[in-house]
Amino acid sequence: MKIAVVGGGPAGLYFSLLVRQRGDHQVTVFERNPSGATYGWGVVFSEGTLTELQGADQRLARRFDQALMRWSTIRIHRGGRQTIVAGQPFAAISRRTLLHLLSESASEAGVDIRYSATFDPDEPYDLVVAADGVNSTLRLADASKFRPSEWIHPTRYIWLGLGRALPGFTFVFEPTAHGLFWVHAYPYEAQASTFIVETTEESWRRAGLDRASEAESLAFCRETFAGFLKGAELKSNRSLWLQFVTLRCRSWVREGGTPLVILGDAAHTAHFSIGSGTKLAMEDALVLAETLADSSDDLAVALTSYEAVRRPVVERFQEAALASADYFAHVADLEGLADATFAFNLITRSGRVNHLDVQRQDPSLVLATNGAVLAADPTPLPPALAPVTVGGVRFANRLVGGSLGMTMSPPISVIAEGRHGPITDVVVLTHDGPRSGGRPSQDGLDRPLRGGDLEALAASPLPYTRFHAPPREATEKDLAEVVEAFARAAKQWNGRARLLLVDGANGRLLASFLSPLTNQRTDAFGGTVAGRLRFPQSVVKAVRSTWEGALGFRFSATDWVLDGITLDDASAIATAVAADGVDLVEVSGGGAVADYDAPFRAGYLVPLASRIRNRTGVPVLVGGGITTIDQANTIIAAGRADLVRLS
Amino acid sequence: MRVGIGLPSAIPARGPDLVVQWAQRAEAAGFSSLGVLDRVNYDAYEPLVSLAAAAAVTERIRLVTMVVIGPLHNTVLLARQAASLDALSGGRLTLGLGVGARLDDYEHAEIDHRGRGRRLTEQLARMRDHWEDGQVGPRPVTPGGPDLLVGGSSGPSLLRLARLADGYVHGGGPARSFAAAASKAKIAWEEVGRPGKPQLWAQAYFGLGDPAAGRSFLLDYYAFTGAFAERIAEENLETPERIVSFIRSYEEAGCEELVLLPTTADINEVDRLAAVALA
Repeated sequence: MKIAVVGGGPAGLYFSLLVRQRGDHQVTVFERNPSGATYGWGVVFSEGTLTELQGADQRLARRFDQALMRWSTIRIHRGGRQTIVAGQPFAAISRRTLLHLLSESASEAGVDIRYSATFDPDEPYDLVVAADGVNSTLRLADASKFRPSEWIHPTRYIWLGLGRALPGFTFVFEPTAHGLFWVHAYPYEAQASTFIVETTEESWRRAGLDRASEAESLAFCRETFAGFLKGAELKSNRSLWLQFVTLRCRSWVREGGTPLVILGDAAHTAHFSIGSGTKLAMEDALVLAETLADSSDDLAVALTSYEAVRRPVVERFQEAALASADYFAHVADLEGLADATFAFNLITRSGRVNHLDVQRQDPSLVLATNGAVLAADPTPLPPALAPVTVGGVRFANRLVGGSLGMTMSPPISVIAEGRHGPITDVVVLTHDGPRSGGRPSQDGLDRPLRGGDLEALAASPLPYTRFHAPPREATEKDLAEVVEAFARAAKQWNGRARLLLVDGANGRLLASFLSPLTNQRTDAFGGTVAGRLRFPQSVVKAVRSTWEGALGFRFSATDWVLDGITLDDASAIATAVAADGVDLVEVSGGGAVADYDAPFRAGYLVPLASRIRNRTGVPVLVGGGITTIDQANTIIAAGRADLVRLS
Repeated sequence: MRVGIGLPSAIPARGPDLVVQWAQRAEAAGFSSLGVLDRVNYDAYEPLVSLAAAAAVTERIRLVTMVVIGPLHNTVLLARQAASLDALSGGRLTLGLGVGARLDDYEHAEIDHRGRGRRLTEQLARMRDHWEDGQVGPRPVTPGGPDLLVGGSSGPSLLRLARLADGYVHGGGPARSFAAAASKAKIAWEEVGRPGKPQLWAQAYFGLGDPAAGRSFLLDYYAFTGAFAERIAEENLETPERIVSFIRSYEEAGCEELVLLPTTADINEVDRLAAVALA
């Protein structure tokens, strides 16, 4: 085959080398820049990736091995203190060395590498491989086939270099007058480290960096991190403040005409904070070279197989990378966490590592983290199983549901049956509101009976589904009666439950007031979040006056719909009900309107719960597909929630 | 885990007698269900008519659609058809519904392709209403009507399943992708506050007697997916070892009923599969 590879970065060069080794192809690489011109500093690989690369080409692996900087610790610096996390083996290589080794090996294998060269699309090839990076011109020229979508991350970052090798992967968190700034840094040569400074857009603007020159930006970073740098030299190399772009493409293969396949950054990107962009690109190259060798008689099958093999792996990393990016975008919320908790939170941020994994990697960190939950000395007692006091009521552990946790009632209506039900640890009281009058829930939710419930109440007269009659807009008199019903029902549960949850979620009556999607009132019970909170707050206050146990409030921190409840609204709700005597909030999501788009994966509510807990200081209960005690331990040890509901 | 077998109703090489003979043979062999596919723009028998023919010559075996393209149908007429089949078969129908994968099915049926997801959601709710209220006949034998299965793993699809269906039906592929989808289905179900658990169904293709013929059927049936048809054909279960391993992997992943769909119109495939899958 005659193959054109566009782009002489790691993906293009590695693919060229491997495909030449596996078949007698004529391979030409077109690189726009001259030989040796490179941007960036170092590139990170995990041990797993290195093993994979070693399997593909032993000789290259030996050359790699001589050039790698290896480490096994993560070092977290906050407020002049350092927390060291053990058991984190990774390696890095200078980007310049990586490209040199790859181009040398590719040339030896017979690849024709042309620098300062432009690919001519009119020249005939059997296959064109676009490895021309995130701004791939070949992908852009055929966007309707590849259907790319881009998510521009809100934080700002700048790539700098440090003139010495750090002892391990290093994070530095530095509060400034403008807000929190932080560093991701790692050694890649005996005398050099990559040093990436990141911050939120607001802090970046407040610091005047939106108007700063390269020299001014460098000076700002030197000054901000002077305490950490202790005189070590920080360098810039045409460094600019950037916003990371997560790129996804619906297709990676263009059939018809000359077959065109995209790989590496041309096809997908993953936020730099999990250090896997180059790793993914090189794995793409490896798999494409192998599927071409395996299906040498049918090019279309080889390309489809490449995409089928790589897509699920790439998507998994992109998901982890988004979780990690999201962690950093909101890391300022976590400033109140103890050092051990903060470290545990950081290393479990992408959801790929749990309490038991950390236990194997660094047992002493887990002891310290367990102790931090109890505000005590290091302990082997895992946090989900440690006792807890909520609102003066002591519970044996921090689990709801499952075989070990507290028992919880289904939502019980204060109108119909509020004073009934068996004794339980946690009782949930509700008013169905706009969802009243439905058929039995085992036969499907929100199917109103013929005629429906003409007395259904809601904040505004918006039918819950197309088949519901519009509910009645609740009058002040209606609301006073509902408040009274909650207070009466709560009183009946004294002595028969220990924690009472008021249901302000799932699109029921209280929720219809909280969400801007369903509350269109112009009186004192609508409008701003304070207005929308007025009625739910009066319910909470009334319940608090008759209920003797611990009091909780369940609410949706997002509607999973555009223009729904915001994170600021959700934090305001938690703070307001806590001031009215609520001891804990359960963070839920969705349901204000019947149709929404929630990512129903295990722990999908945890990031929201963490924001609210750490922004407001209000204790948080979270559930949502959490099935193991290990997951619960991870969530509690990381300070993302205080109690966990098991499925 | 129960194991069902597909009817050869979408395999062009079938003769007119094959569907009823196949149904009788499958029931005698002990399969738990008979599954049918739906495709407008292909030489395939209509799924509910095929199941009606099978119902007439069997007594015990469950009848399942995997899946009928709901939005192509008028909801009341589909509810009547399903209720009739449920009644005529003595309550043996499980109705899988989906939006289908092909635009041309909608074009041939002269139905708007847009809004199909929303229409399917409303169909689920309306069919249940019809079956419960009995304003349009007949009344199904199964109380509340046949069980409803849907597929899809996007947020809105999972919500549709959790709120209005009785179970999830997986479209095919390795057991780990089934497990991931089933986990999301269970989470959505619990999170919306629906009591109980979703039923979990799955399907796969097999071809024991003449694997080459089976593969060419799949390449033709899935030609609209381009080179992806090759992968579907490659995943065809062609040996007893592969079938047993596949069944085990789905059982371990929590599947409750796996329906193995034929790829050739050879009646002896029923007994070949039974010998391996029901042993």
